[in-house]
Amino acid sequence: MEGQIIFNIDVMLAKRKMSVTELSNRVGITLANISILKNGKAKAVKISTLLKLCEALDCQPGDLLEYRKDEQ
Amino acid sequence: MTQKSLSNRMKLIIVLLGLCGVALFGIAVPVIGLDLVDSYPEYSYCFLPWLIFILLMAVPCYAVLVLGWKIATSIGGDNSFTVQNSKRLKNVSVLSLVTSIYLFVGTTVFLLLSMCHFTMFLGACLVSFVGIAISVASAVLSYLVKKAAALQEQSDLTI
Repeated sequence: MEGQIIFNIDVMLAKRKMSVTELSNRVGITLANISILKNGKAKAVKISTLLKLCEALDCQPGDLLEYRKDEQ
Repeated sequence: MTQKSLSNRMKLIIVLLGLCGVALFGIAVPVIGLDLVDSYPEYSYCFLPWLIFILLMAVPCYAVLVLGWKIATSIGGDNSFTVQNSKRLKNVSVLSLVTSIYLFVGTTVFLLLSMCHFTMFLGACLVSFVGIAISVASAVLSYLVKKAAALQEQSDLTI
């Protein structure tokens, strides 16, 4: 049974009162790529990208990543 | 060499091949056939079957040119490694194989019916071999493009 990894970017953006555009500019990735992360369509995430996200949102990787089991 | 210029060169070659095909199938083959009929009237019954046989070969040849044009267009649009291009190359491979088999079998039948000279049969065998080589090369390219498309997708979806 495969689950999925969820990127809780919206939650952290709300906590830090930051817009998606501002995050995109700080991290240096496009809005389209942030959307891909949020929608769970990303196949891989570079460590450097995760590092930049954590720096921009002042959080731990665990705050951003969540494992969710597929319920059948 | 940019992708755009590569694509344009491919399209130019395809257009020139198309024109060569028109010259070959539309002019050379009928004219040579009629000349042979004039020179050897006892073989006039062979003209029409051979003409139809050769003209039918134009269909898969032009189908391959159309597929090549589509591949060139996608290369020009920076979409070289796609599953669609892989399928197009696979179709080119199948068309080449079918045409080669058609040519070989057809010429063999004509030979057995004494409607073909042995040297022509040998020439047809050579052309069939070239066709099979193109078929194998296209099949290999198709496989490689499919693998590359998978890698491209993974790369595009790596944030």
